[in-house]
Amino acid sequence: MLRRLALLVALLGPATGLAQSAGTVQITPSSFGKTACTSTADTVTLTWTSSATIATGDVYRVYVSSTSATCPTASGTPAGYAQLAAGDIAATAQTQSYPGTLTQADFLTAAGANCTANATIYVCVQHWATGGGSTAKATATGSAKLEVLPPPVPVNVAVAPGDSALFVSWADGTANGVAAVSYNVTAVAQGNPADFQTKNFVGRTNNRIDQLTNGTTYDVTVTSLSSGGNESLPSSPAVSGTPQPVNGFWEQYTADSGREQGGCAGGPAGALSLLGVALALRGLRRRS
Amino acid sequence: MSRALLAAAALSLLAAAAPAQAAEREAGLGSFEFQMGQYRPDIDSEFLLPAGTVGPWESSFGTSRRWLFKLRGGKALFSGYGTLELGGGVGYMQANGHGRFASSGAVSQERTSFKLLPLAVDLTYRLDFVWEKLGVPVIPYGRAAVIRDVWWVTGAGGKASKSGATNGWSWGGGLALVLDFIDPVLTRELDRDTGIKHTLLTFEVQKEKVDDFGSKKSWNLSNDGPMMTFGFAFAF
Repeated sequence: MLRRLALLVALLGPATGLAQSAGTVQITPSSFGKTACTSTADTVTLTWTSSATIATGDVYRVYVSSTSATCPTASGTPAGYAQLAAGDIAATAQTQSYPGTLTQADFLTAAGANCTANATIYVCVQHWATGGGSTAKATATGSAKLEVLPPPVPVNVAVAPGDSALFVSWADGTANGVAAVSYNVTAVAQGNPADFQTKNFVGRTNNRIDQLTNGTTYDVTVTSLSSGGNESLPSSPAVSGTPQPVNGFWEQYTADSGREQGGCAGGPAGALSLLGVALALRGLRRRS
Repeated sequence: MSRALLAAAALSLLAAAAPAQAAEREAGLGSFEFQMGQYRPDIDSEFLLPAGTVGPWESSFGTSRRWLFKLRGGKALFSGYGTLELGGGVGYMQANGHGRFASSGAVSQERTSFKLLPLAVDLTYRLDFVWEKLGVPVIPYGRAAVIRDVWWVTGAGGKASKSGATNGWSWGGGLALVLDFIDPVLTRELDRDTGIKHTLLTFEVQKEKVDDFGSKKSWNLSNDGPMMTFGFAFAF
């Protein structure tokens, strides 16, 4: 009889809401750079949604880890996790945020991130009923990336002159597991470090860096940046290029002593033609 | 200019020459057209180029022609053997190329472009009776237009170099294949539902002269040969 009852509970459990279903934790930002390990100015926002309904006296417990992705329902601190400083948080809604200010440094320290290697930071939120018990009502999980390594140094940098500009192309260096999402291209005038331009280009490995001076030779280097904002070392050696004046079509036309002056020339014949059209349209309107 | 006026006058006379037929035909409202053709301005023609050298247009944009697209609408003025329309149109063409280094003349990576917005007012005479009375599904038509080509040139790095407008005229003619004969029932339904009386496939040849009527301070934006276009037209 007991066996049959146990089987019935097992079968009907999901339909009667007895089963645990995991909720989600939204971590903002979702990716941390190396500077986050010591940042007390930048904060983290945690917002979770519990799949269980709220009852009076319920609490949330928020744990973080850099080693464990498992979020158990058993009581006690989950293995590999540390509870955040807020302790038991009164549950007032199924969707709720971590109270107060949580700095990025405190968040990563609590997670046990050593900040010398890339890692995934896991957040486990347990939803407990009044008085606790042996099993949490529900859990919610989320994760974020900690990137302390920069992307590879760009290679094969090539420079071609433009008009007050340089065309720069490059390639990603040997893959190290960190993807480059943008690149900083810097052109520094030889012998005059105060004359420089730096441009950030997203998602492409060639571009035009402008606002340079024709006739001045610039040394160009490229760095790559990860989604966490970690920047690689500059490409080496620097590649030099000298912007030069370029004639567009109009400049070539005038250099060849072309007749056209630009503007809305037309002469009397053109004006008469347009006047004739205007009179014709007026006549049409009168007839209709 | 005088040739353009003569052409326009000839079209008007042709239209007026058949007043007796006018009463027999239902005057249409007008027409709407989409045309496209390949275009290359004759800008380099003003230069006396030594052998082996090219003009600024070819130097920047090469020798290939660019597609020129036009939209045109016309209002029927009266009908005789055909329909005389007063129309207006607008088009667009863009050529992109590379600038050249001022010092060496070598091709650079800097881009340069030429954009053209041709505006036109035209008189068109379409010999509709060829289809409506004779049943031949090919309608000849003639067209004379006054043109104003508005243009922009951009230079290295996208900076605006120059803009302006050049006036001129064009005349020519074409053939319009009347698609109505393919499905007369559908044609009647289209007329009833939308007012479109004829659907035409057009082929047109035009001679242009766009140089501010011979001004010595203007370049020549005429096509460097007869301008051939094809497209669709809907007669209402």
